[in-house]
Amino acid sequence: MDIDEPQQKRELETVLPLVNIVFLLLIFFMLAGAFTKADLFTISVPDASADTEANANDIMILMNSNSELAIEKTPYTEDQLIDFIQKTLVENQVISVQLKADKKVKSKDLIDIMEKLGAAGLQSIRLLTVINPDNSESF
Amino acid sequence: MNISQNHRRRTLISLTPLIDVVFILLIFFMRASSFVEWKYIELGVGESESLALNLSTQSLVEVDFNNQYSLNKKALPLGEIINRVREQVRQDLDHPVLIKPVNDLPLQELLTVLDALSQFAESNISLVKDQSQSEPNGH
Repeated sequence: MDIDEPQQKRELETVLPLVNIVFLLLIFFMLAGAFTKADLFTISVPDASADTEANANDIMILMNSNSELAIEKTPYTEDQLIDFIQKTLVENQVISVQLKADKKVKSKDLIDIMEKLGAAGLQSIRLLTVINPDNSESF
Repeated sequence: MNISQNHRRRTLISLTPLIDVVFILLIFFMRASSFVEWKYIELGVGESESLALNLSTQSLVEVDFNNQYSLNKKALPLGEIINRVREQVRQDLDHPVLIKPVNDLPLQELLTVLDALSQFAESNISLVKDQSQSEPNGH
């Protein structure tokens, strides 16, 4: 009894700080992180110093570096996307659409799809960016 | 001695699965959480053909490769373009700003201009397709 108790105590003493830290990390990730839906493409979003926060409830169109389109996990052709936007506009009158385009997308492809969305009845589109602290100097 | 061994086993059984479960939860929350702060730049969408170019009432910013810019067909450094457009927007809040990138310009390079202009003229900015380049210019 006397021999065993200090050894057990020592084992607990080594494990408990680990458990504490793991618990703290768990609580941090549970509270601070936000769940995101997995996208169909891996998209490297361009950085900018824009500070208007994006709304998670907006429709998000994905555009990868090969200018392929998707919404969440579903690939769309240009025509399918236009149909989808037109149908959504009929149902909701006003919609907000975000475009998550890869930083390598060619300007021509971007403007093409934006023009088609405009022709479908959309007034404006929100181009998603992430903050780059090095890029925040103002002119 | 017997009592002590039982006590020790009971402690181990209760602690080990707990750590396992907490670790699994931690890994899940680490993988599923996102800390990316999404921002956006709002752009008007319309067809290039419908945006009649009238340089006396609009600012046309052309963006070429290698950070070459021009304002209303006049080559200028970006800082100067930003100052001039800002002055125009100050005089007329609805002053339209058209950005015309070369067709193959990657989005990240286009965003350098877009980002700077959107600081003060976000609602007036439209992207215009470069109609003069029917073929890619090999960049």
